[in-house]
Amino acid sequence: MRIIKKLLTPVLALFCSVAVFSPAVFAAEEMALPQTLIKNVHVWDGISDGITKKISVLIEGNLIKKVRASDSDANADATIIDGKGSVLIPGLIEAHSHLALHGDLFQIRNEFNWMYIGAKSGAEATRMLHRGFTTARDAGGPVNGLRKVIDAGHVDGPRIYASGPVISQTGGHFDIRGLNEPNYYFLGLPDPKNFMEWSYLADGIPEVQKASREIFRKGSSHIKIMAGGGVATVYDPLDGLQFTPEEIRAIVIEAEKLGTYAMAHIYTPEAITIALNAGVRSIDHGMLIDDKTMALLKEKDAFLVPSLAVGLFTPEELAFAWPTPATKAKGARIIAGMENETLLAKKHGVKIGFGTDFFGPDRGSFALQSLEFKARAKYFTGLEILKQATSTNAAIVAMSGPMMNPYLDGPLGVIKAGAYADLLLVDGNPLDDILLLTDPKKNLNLIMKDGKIYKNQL
Amino acid sequence: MGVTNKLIVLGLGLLGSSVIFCPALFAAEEMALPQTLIKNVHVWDGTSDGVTKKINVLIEGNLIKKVRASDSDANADATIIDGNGSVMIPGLIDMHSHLCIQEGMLVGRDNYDQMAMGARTAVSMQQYLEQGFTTARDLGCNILGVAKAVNNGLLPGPRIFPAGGFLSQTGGHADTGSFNDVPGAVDDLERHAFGYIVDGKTELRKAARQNLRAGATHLKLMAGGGVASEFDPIHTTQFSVEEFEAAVEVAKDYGTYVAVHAYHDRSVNRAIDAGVRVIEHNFLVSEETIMRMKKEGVALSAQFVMSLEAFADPDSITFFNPDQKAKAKSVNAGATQMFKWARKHGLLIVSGGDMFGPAYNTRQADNMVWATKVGFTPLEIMKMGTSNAAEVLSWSGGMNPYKYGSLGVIADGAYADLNLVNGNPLQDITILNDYKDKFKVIMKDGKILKNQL
Repeated sequence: MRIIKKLLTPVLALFCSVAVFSPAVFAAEEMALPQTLIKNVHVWDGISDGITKKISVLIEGNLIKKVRASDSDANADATIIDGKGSVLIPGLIEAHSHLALHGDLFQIRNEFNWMYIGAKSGAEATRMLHRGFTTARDAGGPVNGLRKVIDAGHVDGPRIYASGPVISQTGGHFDIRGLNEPNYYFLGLPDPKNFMEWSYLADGIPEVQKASREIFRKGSSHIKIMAGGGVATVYDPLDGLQFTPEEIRAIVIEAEKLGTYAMAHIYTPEAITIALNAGVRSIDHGMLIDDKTMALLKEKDAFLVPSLAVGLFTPEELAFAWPTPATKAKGARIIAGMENETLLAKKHGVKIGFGTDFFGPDRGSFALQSLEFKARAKYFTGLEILKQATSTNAAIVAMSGPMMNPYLDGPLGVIKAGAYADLLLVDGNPLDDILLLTDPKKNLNLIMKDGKIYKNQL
Repeated sequence: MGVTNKLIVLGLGLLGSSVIFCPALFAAEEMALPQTLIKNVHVWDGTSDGVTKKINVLIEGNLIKKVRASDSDANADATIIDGNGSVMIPGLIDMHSHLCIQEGMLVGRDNYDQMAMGARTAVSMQQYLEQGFTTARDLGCNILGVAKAVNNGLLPGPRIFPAGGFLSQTGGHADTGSFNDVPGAVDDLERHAFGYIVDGKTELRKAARQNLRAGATHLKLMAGGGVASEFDPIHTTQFSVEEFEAAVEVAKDYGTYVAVHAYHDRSVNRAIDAGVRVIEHNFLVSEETIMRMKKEGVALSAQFVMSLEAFADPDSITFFNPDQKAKAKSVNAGATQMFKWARKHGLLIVSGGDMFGPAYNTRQADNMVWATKVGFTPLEIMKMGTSNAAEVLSWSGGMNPYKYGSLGVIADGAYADLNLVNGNPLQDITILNDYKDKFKVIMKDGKILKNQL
């Protein structure tokens, strides 16, 4: 966090020509923040159509101080980095992660414990940062604590916009009880398995209000609603509606009271329509949307966050995630809907976020995150995809507003004076070859977050 | 874990000259385990008085196959590492860790959650490995889930022998509640098995069994107070002898033992009366108690840094009040004397730092180095952190997760946990602190974690 202390000495000229200094105040002092000057880089700023010629970028503290800096702009003791012609782009932003999801939810709930999940999540956060993602909007899971230890510098990882526990109705997409497990609410007892704060089951307006308020109390930056069925889960049909329009509106109101917004997991047109009319601003997944609903999405100025990379795999390859005939069939439906979704999105000019929704059980499945660039290349240009993963996603997370946004020192997702110094040096131009970003280990020469360097293989 | 499958084909000559093979069995198959031959090393084996001349050590799978191996003992495809005259020592063992306490206990309770502490624990475990500590005995916190994961190869880290949640009486040393708590109140740490507040034999048995159910390798009871404690001054004795006996009985039923945190004669002797086998801290006891420990085979787990360095200058600990400062001074003086008696009477001593959190995570070896200040030789110290430690770990009996090889030694059939050091710690024990530069190779379970040769 940026600290510049400037204490000015007040001069109290109380008695004619005598100046009296208050003993409690002392002389002006400016503490110099460390600087880094990155030279010889072509900059793509997150917004423009192309890259600059070779220029220098000056970072001071955790912010970008000046783009197109000259050598003399930097202090004598600035760290100089020769970018060697790399392309400097904003740090990537993930709009739909699940950092705490390391396998089957039922297994997690019954067999793993908080500490183990925390240990794994910390390691996955570090790996995500090394894939070039300097910010992650987490779409559900107990990651508020992880966010704190990352921000405190104890664990390397991206900035986290946490949903925290998701809100689900009884029998909804995050009702992760076993089939015969009782509803503890009906028994009037606390849940002995301690959901580990994955989800709050809430039915009716008072319950969703309480659950929403509890979620924000934990420090979540926005709220995640399970507003429709899922592919991999077994008790909630894909086409079913979840929550009534009034319940969804009540949740959104709680978010709006805190200057923030709600995101929702939804696939189907009817559910999306209800959510949009209730004021949900981020529609995640959405593969089964239709033309009329996409028009409404545009009208409401909401964001659409699809995740297309599962479309790169065959059903056999996805058998680990969708093992039963029922889940396989649901999976096939949503994959089949992707082309229509992206075409409709382009037709109506809606704002599209970059979300991957890749998670455990192991580091290999988390690492599929980088494949989203390849999946999108089928439908979008490199420039469009990069905007989705930087400035558009930045606009999404900025909807958290001044009260709940943990990162208020400067904008994200752009390279300009005053923005956070979250940036990557790519070995090559991703605008021309977006697939460079599918191999971050090889092609990311430098990773900087908050002005600190986490990787330098220049 | 080393797995060699040999299924022998049974020839059943039932009918005349025909041989019938049971269709469920199949041909003999031996799967070759990867080998590493480490050459040209002076070995200190964890027990001997000095190092060998230059020899080779053959590792197969996750065990040491042969010490003093010849080239021909290795398979053609073995990985060869030229140790270049470095000293091979067993992987180090810390016998008093708290892997999941990375902030003060109350900060962890109030400002973070267990997920966050888990993420920090992962970092700390990585730091242990980087310092050449391949095994840690954890003496209390919510580590059982992480321990299970590490011990099953699902997370990187040192082998963990966990006690699980602290067992403390009301107001005892692991009572992390608030002043206004009423009996039965459970705080967030206790909710997550960080510790159990138990009074009476029944509650103690239940909590002990809960820990063992989740994989604890031994039990840890708080038998006394601490210098800085909120509710339990240092002079207190905690748990009755019957409560200790209940814990010892449960431990024995599981084939393992009980260790206690205790400072002075009254609490230590009560614990020994009940059959406790390891005393942690022990700083204020008399020579008589030391002699009793020797006679009854009770081990001492030694925290040299915490008693000698941390409390060497209590006046400089600004957040201590005068009472706490006075206590710290007495602990410092008492520990200095106690360690000398322990050495004089030849107690079984293991080194365990009780050093956790950012200030101490990367100083694990310093606990061993500081033992020189009270007269221990490098050889004695090295044993505290290897073969002595392994002996106490073996007291976990059936609960030992690592039953298939020995720890803390370089010997045929031992686990391949070892370090190659540039220099001889038996001559200069301070080398252990310089692990970044001087520990050239670190191997755990036969896998190379670091190779800077």
